[in-house]
Amino acid sequence: MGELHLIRDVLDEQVIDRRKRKMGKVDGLIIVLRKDQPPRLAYIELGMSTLAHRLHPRLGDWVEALGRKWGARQGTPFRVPWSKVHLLQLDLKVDLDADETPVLNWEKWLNQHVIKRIPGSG
Amino acid sequence: MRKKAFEITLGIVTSIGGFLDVGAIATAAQAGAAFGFQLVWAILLGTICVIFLVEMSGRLAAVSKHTLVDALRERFGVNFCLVPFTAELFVDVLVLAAEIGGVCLALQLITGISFPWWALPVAFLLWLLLWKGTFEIIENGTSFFGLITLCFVVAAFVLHPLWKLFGAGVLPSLPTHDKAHYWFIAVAILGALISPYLFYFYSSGAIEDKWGKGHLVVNRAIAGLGMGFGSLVSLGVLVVSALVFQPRGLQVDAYEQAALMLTESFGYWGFIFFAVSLGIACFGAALEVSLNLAYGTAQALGWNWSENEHPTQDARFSASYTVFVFAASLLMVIGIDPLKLTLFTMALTAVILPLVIIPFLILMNDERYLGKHRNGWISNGVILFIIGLAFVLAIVAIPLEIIGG
Amino acid sequence: MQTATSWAATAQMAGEAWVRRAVPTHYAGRTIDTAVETLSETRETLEQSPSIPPDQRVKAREHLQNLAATIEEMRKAIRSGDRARVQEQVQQLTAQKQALLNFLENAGARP
Repeated sequence: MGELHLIRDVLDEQVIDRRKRKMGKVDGLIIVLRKDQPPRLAYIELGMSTLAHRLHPRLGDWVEALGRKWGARQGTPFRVPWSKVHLLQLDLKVDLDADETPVLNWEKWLNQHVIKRIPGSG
Repeated sequence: MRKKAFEITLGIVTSIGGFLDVGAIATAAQAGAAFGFQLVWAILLGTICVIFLVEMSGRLAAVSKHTLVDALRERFGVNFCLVPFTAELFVDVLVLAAEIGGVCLALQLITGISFPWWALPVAFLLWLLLWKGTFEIIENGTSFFGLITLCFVVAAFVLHPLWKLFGAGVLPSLPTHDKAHYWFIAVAILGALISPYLFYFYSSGAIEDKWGKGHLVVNRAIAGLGMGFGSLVSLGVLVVSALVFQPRGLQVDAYEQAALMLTESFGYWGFIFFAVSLGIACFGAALEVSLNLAYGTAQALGWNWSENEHPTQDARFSASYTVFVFAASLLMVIGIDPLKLTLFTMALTAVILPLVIIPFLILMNDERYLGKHRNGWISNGVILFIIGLAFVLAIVAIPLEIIGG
Repeated sequence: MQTATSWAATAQMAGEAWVRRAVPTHYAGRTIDTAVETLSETRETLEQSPSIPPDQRVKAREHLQNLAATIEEMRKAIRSGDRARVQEQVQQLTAQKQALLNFLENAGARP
């Protein structure tokens, strides 16, 4: 494998879990700056507020505030350590189970409180 | 092989959304009534462009296993996609409202009960099909019932048009009267046919139908035949309108007028055929646009999505089409004229088209996605030429029409 | 004026179709209502446009009034289910529309 272009090949790519479930897109990249050492890509970040921050900082703050108000855990960005990420042809596969992460919180909440209550959903 | 022959339904359902929806029927009827066969070229040009675009989006999905929305966000990033995606979302909601309106108008023609009353029942039925149905039911059902629109083609033959005049319309010519209106209708036809939701939807459909590289040849046939079907019916509408309305000096500004189109050839059945065709085509288009809205949202944000899963398996996806369907139907409840709404959305589509198509073309030339199945110079050339033309016509003709009233 | 002749043609066609029982009554009624409305709108626009010479304006108004009167009659006939009378109105409308077209052509306006 040759070079990796972070913006082209990692940012905004689809993330899937161990069982090939869609987890979201890479909404942000976290690079740690270390003293006397080159910066290192530490995490990929998934979350609505991360995404909103990239569009406009104020929009990001707003989404974050909204997330805090409506059940704090739902809106928190989720970080996946780079060591758990495998590059596929176009997608990123992470060595996790989506069900055990907070990325599906919204999906689950919506399912419990709305979708399941409508007849014929299952 | 039999299974693959059935895949044509994806082409037909896609083409119904493009060629036979509320806006396309209206513009074809207007073109025929005002300019006879003179605007046949606009439908043909639009058809060629749509065939190429649909083939491309099918190829993208079959080779990369990614839909167009997925690929656009992944390749260009969220900041770049913000404008085209929001514009598309906005236009799609308006189009969905207009399609629901078209179904309501059809019901009004048959029952006499005024169209705003139908908006919520129609929206409910639409939602119910999305909620309980699978992608296959939707594509097969729409394609099967959509065949009724062939009545326009039958009527065109029954009326014995002068095919020589029709042939003359294949090549563009300058109008002898109402120049501004002529170019405006040409833009409206192109805008109605080349709708971005067509190829967004088609690429999602190809993923729903689990296409792979083995489908590349089938994809070409489906794009050609499916879009050809829609184009044929659209030409039928234009021909009938030219033969029935033009001699009487009847301009089509309202669906009440268009409804008389088939009464000359088929009497009372003609009236019913028109209403049923309008209703079914618009319902099919509404299914397509609702799904497209939910697909687009889910894909842009990386959610799990599929019409083939139960709603509990993709709660966010199901919730989004539910919200979109009922939000759009509210526009009809308050009684906005569907025809005026579509004319507006079509003009808007023609202006934002380059913004959507150019990234799509770049993607189709990207080796990472397409490998050796990248676009050749013919595909690139045809698309660039037609989109350029539509864009220039749009920025020239729309202001002219507004000034000219 | 183009809209006026177009809606006169619509009323005429809807009337004919109704006589042949090719369209339901509710549809014919509604279409003719729209035609009446559109014609009165055209008359208002005509009154307000300053570019038309007075003598032509008077004549144009007369034509529109004739059309409107016939369509109004047609509306009543459809309500009472009188197919023979609608047939008469259709013929009258055809003649009036032709007269309007001739007038427009002489006046050099767009048909």
